[in-house]
Amino acid sequence: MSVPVWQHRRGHFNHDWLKNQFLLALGNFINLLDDLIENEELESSFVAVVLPQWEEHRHEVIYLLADFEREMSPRTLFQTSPLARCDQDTQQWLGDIVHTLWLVKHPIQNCLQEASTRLCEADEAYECLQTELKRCSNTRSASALRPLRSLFVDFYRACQKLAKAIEQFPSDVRIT
Amino acid sequence: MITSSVLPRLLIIDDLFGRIHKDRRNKERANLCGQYLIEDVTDDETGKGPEQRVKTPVAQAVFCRGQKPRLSTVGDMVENDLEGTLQVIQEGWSGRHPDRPRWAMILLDLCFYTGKVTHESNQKTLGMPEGRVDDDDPEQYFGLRLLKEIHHRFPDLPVVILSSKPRGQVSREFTQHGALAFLPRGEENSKELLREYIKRHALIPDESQEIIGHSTALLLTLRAARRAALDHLNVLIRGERGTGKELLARYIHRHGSQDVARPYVVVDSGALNPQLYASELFGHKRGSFTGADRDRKGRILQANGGDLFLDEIGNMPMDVQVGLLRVLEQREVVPLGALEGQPVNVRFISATNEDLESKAATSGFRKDLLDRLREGSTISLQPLRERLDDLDQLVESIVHSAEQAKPSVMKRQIEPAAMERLRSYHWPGNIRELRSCLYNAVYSYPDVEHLQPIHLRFDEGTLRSPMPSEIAPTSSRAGNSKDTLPEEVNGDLTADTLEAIITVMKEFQFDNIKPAELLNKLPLLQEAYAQLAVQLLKAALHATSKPTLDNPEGELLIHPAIKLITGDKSITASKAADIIKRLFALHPEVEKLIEIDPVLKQAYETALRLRPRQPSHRTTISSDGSA
Repeated sequence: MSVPVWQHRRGHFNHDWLKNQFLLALGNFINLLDDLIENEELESSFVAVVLPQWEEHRHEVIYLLADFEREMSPRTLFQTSPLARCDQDTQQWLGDIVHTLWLVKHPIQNCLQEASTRLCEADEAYECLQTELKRCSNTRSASALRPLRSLFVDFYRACQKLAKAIEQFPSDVRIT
Repeated sequence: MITSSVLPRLLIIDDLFGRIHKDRRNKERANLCGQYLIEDVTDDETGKGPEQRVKTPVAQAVFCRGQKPRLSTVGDMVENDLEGTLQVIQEGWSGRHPDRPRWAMILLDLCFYTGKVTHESNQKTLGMPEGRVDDDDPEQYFGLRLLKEIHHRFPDLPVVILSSKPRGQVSREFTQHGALAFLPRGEENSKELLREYIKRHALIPDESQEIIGHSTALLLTLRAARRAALDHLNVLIRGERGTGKELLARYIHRHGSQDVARPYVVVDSGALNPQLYASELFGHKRGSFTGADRDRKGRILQANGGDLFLDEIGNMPMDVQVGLLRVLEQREVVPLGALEGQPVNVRFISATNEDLESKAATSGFRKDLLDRLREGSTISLQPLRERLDDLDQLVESIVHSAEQAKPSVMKRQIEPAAMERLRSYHWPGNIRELRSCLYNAVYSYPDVEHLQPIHLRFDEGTLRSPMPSEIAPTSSRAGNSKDTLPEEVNGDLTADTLEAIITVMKEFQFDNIKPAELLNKLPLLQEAYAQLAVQLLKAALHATSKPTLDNPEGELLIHPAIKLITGDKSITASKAADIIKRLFALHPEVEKLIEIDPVLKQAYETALRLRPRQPSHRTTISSDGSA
């Protein structure tokens, strides 16, 4: 069975961007605030360049959640052989039953609810951090930003929880 | 703190962090290093991360993409490279480059993206291909295929999965193929987790350098010791004599806790008097037996909250075994003569070179106690002949330490032929015997720059002091060919000889040497003592001689010479003559000197003139040690 497109999209967001790039950069920046590393480039560019990437990528979560039920429902099995050979009426009524049973059997709504909540929390933590950053002077040095460390950590944790929530979705189309 | 030179070296195989760029550094790699506190030592200048310095790194890392090409741009095809990656692993694991640390552990990614690098994929992540459908299929992960091959070709090399993929998808597969743990990416406690995994799984030499070596056998033992240290259960160390069991016990203690104040107490069961053993271990109350004039805290209570090392546990008397079993079972110790026990929290680290199972089968050791003492783990120390990969490092370290201990000796190089000789010996006395052999060589030949096979003496595992007769001519004496007699017959006692004796006596370790072995050494000790005493007499004779017109060299006078040696001014001439006669009767080898050495001959004849009667018997030491 081929890997669903939704699974690829999730991989690109959660694995390729959120965990491998954004969270690593954020974690590295927190270590910089903790004076565990020295990195002038990261110090000068993180707040201006890396952090705002959240605003660009958060929409991907919204689309992922919106598309999940449609793309990962076992109803999609009627689009490919052998079930695609069923007549239209059968595809319709049988597809509806399969879809309903799937929703009853699997905690899909719980997963969606959890991910939405985590996204809201990450957004809130981000907003909170940005508000405080705007209140600060224009200085973006580690020493000037150190008082905001707890806000960076809050945002990091919120993103981490979001990543975990997105991981909870099934990775294949299931009938049983 | 671990210094940079001894930081464990990791190999990180990952398509994202291992790739390099033409004209910029790999930022993702720098972020990974910064978050996990790793120092990047990859030899790929173009791919170095942004200028970043990790202040207190937990490890060094070399990055490998696991794919070719390592540097990819738009239009390139990226493919997984199994053989090339295994070659990289082999290079760093073989130990062929002594200046480069071996891989302590591999961190292995699971999902490797392949295919064409398109404008779109390059824009998302520089140099990364768009990926094929199977790349992201847990059943097809290239990381798992690689893991299987690593486990097959390098079974001792520890591998930990480093991935941002969900662990649950592949946990069965990666454990089945030998991975030891899963290190998730993007976790808040990732640096603590990596530090923990290094301690638990990596193959790393002893950072304190107390235990020398980097052979796989030793590193596996050290890892077992660190794992045992972490679980705080009792540990039994097995190994032949001289393999360093006490050093390993100390290593376990050091790695057991960050609390440096935790006590570490040593009990050498081979050295303790069996009658006092129980009192030593459990303590006693005043009046509990004859001579117990005050309360005494036993070693177990001294070790409370820490570790107690019981060396040569097989020598423990049976009644003490019963008492120790009670301590282990009830976690309390009752000092001799006490009515109540005191609670204790002690981890017991025991060591033996005996087959305790056989001993237990013949009722020589309590089986239930043995089970208690090894409840955590049993760790075996390999004999030196099975870890010859460590010989070069050990020899270098021991010779250096011998040279440091005595600055007057010359710095030396160990010739390949000498190394070959050391390598071909079977080392029944293990590292202790090697140490003795090399110290002997260094101090016996203080002016030698190149250590050759002729400088090495092997004694089937027993430590042997260099006798004056064994000490070869040093350069200061070389060329002294006034006659053809060997040096010991000439009887010259140089400062070097004396120094060598003193050094060996200082270095001599009696632990683990059985009484029978000591008694075997007595004839050698007697000879050494007799030689020394006669040389002292000769020096005193020269010192007290008086030049006369007839004899400008000086007339030899035994009476003042003996006064000088004994420091007794009231000694009579007859008594001095008796002392001289007794000196020559100490050992047959010394007696022979009378016929060879004119000074000693003259002294002996003078003594005989004064006291004509021959000594009635020679002083000897019998096999039971009595004189």
